Amino acid sequence: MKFFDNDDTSILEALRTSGAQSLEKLAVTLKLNKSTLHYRLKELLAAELITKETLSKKNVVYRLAPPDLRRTYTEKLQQYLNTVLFGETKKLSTAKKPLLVFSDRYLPTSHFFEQITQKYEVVSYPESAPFLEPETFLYRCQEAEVIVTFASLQITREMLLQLPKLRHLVTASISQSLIDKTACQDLGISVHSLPRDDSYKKPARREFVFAALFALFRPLYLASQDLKLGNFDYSAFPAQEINGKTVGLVGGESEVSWVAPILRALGAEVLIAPAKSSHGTPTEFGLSHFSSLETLFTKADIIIFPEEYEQAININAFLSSTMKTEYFLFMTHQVTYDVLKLRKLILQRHVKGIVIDYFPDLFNVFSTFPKSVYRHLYNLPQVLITPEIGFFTQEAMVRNYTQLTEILLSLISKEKK
Amino acid sequence: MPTISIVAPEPLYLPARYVQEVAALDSAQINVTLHQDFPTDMNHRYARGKDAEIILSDPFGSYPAELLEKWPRLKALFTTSVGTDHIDLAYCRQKNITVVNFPGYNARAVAELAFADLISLLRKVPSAHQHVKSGGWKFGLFQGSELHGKVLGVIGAGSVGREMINIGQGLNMEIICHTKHPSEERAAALKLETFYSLREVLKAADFVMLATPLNESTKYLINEQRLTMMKKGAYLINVARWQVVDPEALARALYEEHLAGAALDFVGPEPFNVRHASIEVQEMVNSANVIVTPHLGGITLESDNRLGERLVSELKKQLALLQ
Repeated sequence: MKFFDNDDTSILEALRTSGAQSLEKLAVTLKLNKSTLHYRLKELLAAELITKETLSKKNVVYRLAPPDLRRTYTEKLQQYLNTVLFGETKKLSTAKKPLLVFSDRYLPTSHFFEQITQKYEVVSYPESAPFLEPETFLYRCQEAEVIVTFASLQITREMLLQLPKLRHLVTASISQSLIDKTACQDLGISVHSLPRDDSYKKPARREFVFAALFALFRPLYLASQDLKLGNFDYSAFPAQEINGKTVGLVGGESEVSWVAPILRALGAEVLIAPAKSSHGTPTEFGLSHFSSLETLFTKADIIIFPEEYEQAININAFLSSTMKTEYFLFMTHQVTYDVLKLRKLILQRHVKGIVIDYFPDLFNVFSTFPKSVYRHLYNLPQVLITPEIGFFTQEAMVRNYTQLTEILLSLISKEKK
Repeated sequence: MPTISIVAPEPLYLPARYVQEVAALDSAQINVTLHQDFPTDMNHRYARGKDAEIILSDPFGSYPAELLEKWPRLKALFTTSVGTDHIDLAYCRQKNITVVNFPGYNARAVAELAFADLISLLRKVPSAHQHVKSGGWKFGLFQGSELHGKVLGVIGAGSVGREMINIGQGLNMEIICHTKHPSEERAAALKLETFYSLREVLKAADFVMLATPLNESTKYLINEQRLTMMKKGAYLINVARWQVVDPEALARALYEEHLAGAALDFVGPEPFNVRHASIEVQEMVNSANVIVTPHLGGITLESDNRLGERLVSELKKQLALLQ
């Protein structure tokens, strides 16, 4: 039995939204190479989830299979899953209460949802791997009325169709971008996420800017490690100050407004390039004017992207050997660039240090690591790549659990009405 | 009887008990001076050794003709090393200055390090240890591979090469060896069928270990062209001298994943500071599939004791000749 993976769900979603498509068109839409796509289509044909139609000798198109054929697959899948040991304990729902499932390893500490357990039977999988396959998600959630998910998993219409009891889908994060909201609306499923404006992550991310800056400029860990080996030589660890440097910040939400005064207190000159027009006035940030992104690359020694932006920011055009910037902090996957171009600038010593707090192939990390494009960077000196630890503090998760509990309680109170 | 002067212009690299044995030679006829710090420059080294009949040198000291000719009393120059590339041997031969080095004293230590490095690489030991120190326990991340039955290519059949062959045979590896001085007798003594050309060894070996001395013919022996001859996915172990391998070419071969890994007891001129190396070499040193050690191949308790014992014995022989 072949399982779906994220590529398969993307193919099905593309066929659902666009109708019949040829292999070539699908390859362009989905940015998959043709031979990989050919293989995936063959598997989906064998699973009777799609059909193939030959319109002419050179015109072959693929379509989503009719619902009754897809249902057969779902039944086979469920039968298969029921016979497989996942190595986890699944608490089966035996009570009359409706089921609330925490679908991945995310689980608030118990005192956060005592009220919730009065209304719902709660099932959780705290021992899960960090990343979830669609089939595992479906297996765990098939009986759920409420699902709480934290994993970076695309939830498509096809998957939602296999969850007939689902009424509320809650992401324990600020984003709903991976959920097919149109499908949820069609199926009468309400979608909820944590507040973006009062994001539980912000205080942690703001502080992380300084953790990252100091990690680049002050080799604390290396010095400590070396001392343990018997090397008592301070001169082996040259460092730099933030004092006197020009730091460019991109954005204007709480991360930037919080970080800017502290950087000034450290003796840095601060320039800000807003990510959107509604970021207030320069005087609110202690500035006479905002700068453009281009200006940051010509004037700043360090550029920090500390926020989660609404739209992607591509900096390729600004990366060059003539830019002034030598250090970058990327705390979001929304900043895009040519990795090999950045590598070249590092090899030429134009760029002297980078912190990247995400791994770009996060959704497919087990299938792509270590072949990720970031292998061109992560062994370079003064390049620190971390798996999104910027937000992850004890306090941030307490805020997360508190916000989540408020959402779940509001669902319960609405139900009572 | 005139006094014989023995001088160590820099700290003597020997275990303390052998330093004491050398110092204990001091007598009415023998004057022993063992300096405890490094001379500032060549002039300082000259000043310290100018009246000596016997100099005891550190392998990192430099003894060119311009210095040696200022020491007209010098009869013997000891170096606590295998190699003599820091000494102008031609001048010494011309002036009948006996040069005493200690080939082979650390061969076993060097060969063992080569295998320590190789097994650590294949079993991903440094990464696994780091993983546990970080709180992890995922053995699945560290699938290794075995040595048994694999092909070990040894370049050089001197004392270190012989030890490598011996250890490799003990590990049930298939051994192929290249030497500049092949003969049937030598092959038989090493329990090898025959010797192979360098090209044949590079093409066939899963692991290539370098055990050559550094001389004109071995300088950059392993260059870009020869690295591309190596099997894709092979490993290179260099415990010879850094100049035997082109470090930039090696960095490229690793980045391009032609080689699966490398272990180096040398990378560049010593003392090597990775921060002063090219970015590509720094990247190589940072990689999880590369182990670099600071020229410590021969540094074991046992080899240091062997060195001390042999030096004291040879020193006494030299003194007997001079007295």
